[in-house]
Amino acid sequence: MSEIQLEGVCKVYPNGVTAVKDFNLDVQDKEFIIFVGPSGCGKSTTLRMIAGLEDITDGTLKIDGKVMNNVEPKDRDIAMVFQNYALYPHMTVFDNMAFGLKLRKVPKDEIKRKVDEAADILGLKPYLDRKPKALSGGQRQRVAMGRAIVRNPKVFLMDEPLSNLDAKLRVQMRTEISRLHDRLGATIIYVTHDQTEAMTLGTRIVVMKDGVVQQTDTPQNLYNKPCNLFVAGFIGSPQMNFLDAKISEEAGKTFAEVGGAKLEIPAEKAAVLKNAGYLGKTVVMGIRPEHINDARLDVTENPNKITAKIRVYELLGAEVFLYFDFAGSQMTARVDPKTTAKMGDDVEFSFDMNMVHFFDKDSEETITN
Amino acid sequence: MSDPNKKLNSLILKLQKETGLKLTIASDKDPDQETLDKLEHLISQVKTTSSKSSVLSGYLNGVISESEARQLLIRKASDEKPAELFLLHFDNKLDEDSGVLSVLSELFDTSTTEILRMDDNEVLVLHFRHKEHDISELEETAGYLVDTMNTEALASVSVSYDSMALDFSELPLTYRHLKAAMKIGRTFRTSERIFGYHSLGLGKLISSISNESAREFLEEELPGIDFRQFDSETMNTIEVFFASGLNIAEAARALYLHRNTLVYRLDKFKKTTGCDLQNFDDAVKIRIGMLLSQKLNQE
Repeated sequence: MSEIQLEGVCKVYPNGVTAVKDFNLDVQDKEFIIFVGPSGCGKSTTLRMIAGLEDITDGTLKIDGKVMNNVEPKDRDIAMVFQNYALYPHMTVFDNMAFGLKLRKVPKDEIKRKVDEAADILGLKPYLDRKPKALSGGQRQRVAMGRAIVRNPKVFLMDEPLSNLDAKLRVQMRTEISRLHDRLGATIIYVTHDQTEAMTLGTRIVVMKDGVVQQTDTPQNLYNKPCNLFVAGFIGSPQMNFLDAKISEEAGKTFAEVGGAKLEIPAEKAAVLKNAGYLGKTVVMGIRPEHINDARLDVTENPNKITAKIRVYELLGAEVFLYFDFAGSQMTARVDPKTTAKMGDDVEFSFDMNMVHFFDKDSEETITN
Repeated sequence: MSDPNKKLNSLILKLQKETGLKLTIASDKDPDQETLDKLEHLISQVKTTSSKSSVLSGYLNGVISESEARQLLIRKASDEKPAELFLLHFDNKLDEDSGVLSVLSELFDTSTTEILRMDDNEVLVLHFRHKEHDISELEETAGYLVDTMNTEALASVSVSYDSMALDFSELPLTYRHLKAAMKIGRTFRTSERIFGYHSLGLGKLISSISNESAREFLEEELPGIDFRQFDSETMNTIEVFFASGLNIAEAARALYLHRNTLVYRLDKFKKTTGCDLQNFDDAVKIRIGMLLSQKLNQE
């Protein structure tokens, strides 16, 4: 069993910079947890604190109930796969995977058994006698994972292991890592800056910014119910569109006034906004590209429309992205490829107001999620 | 010839081979065991101190001159190709069984690499190559070293590097650059692990300024500003804004912020400090102030 608890964990560097602030997380056995966020958000630092490669300034780290703050990395029963792994160039695949065990003076027959098992899981058996230069990028990556698997750790810690691979290989290896997780039944903590990778791999995702956890949730909840402006903008590609909107009321209906347009807010969301005292105030309205439609193709008789000139038209096969400016913001709409809109056209867009999000302008926290 | 005399002759020949010194013992008696033991001990000491590693360490640290080092190493059949140097600083003292040296020995071709234990926490890798490699390759190798030490030796490490030493005479200077890069990097870039001497930037200049001058500057140019009071959100905003070349749109994108939110944060900073980060002169002052503050906090 491998459960990890981080309670109030902080990392402050000697120069006073706080890299991680009050990090709290309970990782259950066999979970696949992703730490995601932009560069410098503290995700790798947190992973390194779990590994013991960085000291914990404050707070407690426990693995299976035991406090690990002052335990050396080699005694934490963890294994790591990092971005810039180097395979031993003069050793075979077998020896590359066995080396860490040899250093720990594991008996030869046990080494052979563990390496053979790992090679079987990773599909490396035919390559055990090869040297790294005779391997493809994906095979080398698997050897790096094999080095971790043979240690049979409680927890796997992976820091951007796919970042050095080309896009196609990255997608392929992502699938393999997911399968590996199922097959090993292991607890994995995985760091990435790529929100697509995070959304496809994780059972739960920890979104971080400036050393602070923004939201910890399932991929679906992060996408549908972001708790603040940052999470809303970070998760989802293309990014969510943001507009300043004034909340007003007329004839018993509540509107978001944006760039001269009045968009009717559904009753449920309107009630939340009014009860929280936002009537007459300006908030940030967020809407995902897939919830902005070409009004000519919208069969719902949606009255919530704006008009804008197309700046860029991008056909991606199954969908079209239209880029336009509105109310001082650059926006993206993901529309049906049947659209006849093209660059330079003035197009009417309909907004699905049931799917919009509202955020407080100062605190950037969600109002309606 | 008696056994002790045979042994003595053999040791004298060994000593000559190791040092070039010819020892003559004027005595008509057979050497006693104590003499033989002392001679053996002397040879072993000479071997230790004149091993390639110890000669190189001495040369890099300025204890042995270039000519002495060349002389000793020629005896050891050294080569004089261009060399890339990497200084590894381990957070924890190195144990004999830490596996670090084993991992390093397997990463590099030992026929062209010297791995020198410089002190309890530092190891220098001297890798002789056939030709010069550019700095980006060295940076890449430094990255491999950090991650491999982390994952294989389970050791936390920082690595500094510089452009290659083109010949033997450049080795000590390159080593000094590595030490400086390590010191400056660990002072000013505490969240990083790889320090290239060429990329130290302002850190190099700041580290040469006395603490007194640093304090004077802060008191005169940035009175009442204590950078330690700013939270990580503010510090990160400033760092990213600087890295984005004071470009609001670019910085907002990098920070995943609405443009207006970034402007709001910069205005807030201006109200607190009196410094407008969108103004180049103020930005430079703040940048220098931050570095000087780090330097003072570190020492």
